[in-house]
Amino acid sequence: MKRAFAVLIFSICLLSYAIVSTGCGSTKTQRVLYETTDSLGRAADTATDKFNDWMVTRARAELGTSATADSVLAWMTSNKAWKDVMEKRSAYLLAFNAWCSANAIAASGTNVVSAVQTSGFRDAAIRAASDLTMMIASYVPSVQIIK
Amino acid sequence: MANETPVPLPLPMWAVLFQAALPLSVDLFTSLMELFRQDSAGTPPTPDAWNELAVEWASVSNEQKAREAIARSGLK
Repeated sequence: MKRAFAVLIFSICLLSYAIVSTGCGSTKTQRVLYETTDSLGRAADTATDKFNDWMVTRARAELGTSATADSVLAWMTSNKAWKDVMEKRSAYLLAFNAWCSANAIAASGTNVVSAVQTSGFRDAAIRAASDLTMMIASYVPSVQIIK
Repeated sequence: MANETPVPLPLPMWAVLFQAALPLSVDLFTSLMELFRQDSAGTPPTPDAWNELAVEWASVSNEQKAREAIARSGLK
């Protein structure tokens, strides 16, 4: 009986975590914050994927039929364009993660983060995403620049 | 909006990193746990320590993105 009760409590905890972590059951404020961060995250991810796909095509063209996953990876990661873009992506990820953290703390109600501070993180994340996509678009013109 | 009850969702930097970076390399995971341990012990790591870890994580994430693109191209 005790074991069944423990399993029940554990299941409830697990379910609660799943609900909270997926954003369901959160307040409207939280949902809006998630949608905004998700939208920026998806756009930056799509741009990065297009750039990497373009790099793979270039690497395969250069390496010819001898291309393997390892040789393509080595070619990409030693390429200046890839390094430059990934440096921008690292800067973007830092700003983006800081913004997500600020949002989560502000929405939790456990700490006071003013709207000005949160919007500062947002602006920094958008600016970094804009820098990233601008550089990617200089190599892959079809990529949409985040503004 | 004012009468909505916020759901507590404390997600500090380490949790966001942990959530986004899975699977972490052993080294990164160890570094992350060390920072978390310091935080729990009442000596919060400096922002620079978090940033260094975040930069390290970003480089792992960048390489992971490259690997995904190679996999999409069908290369093995």
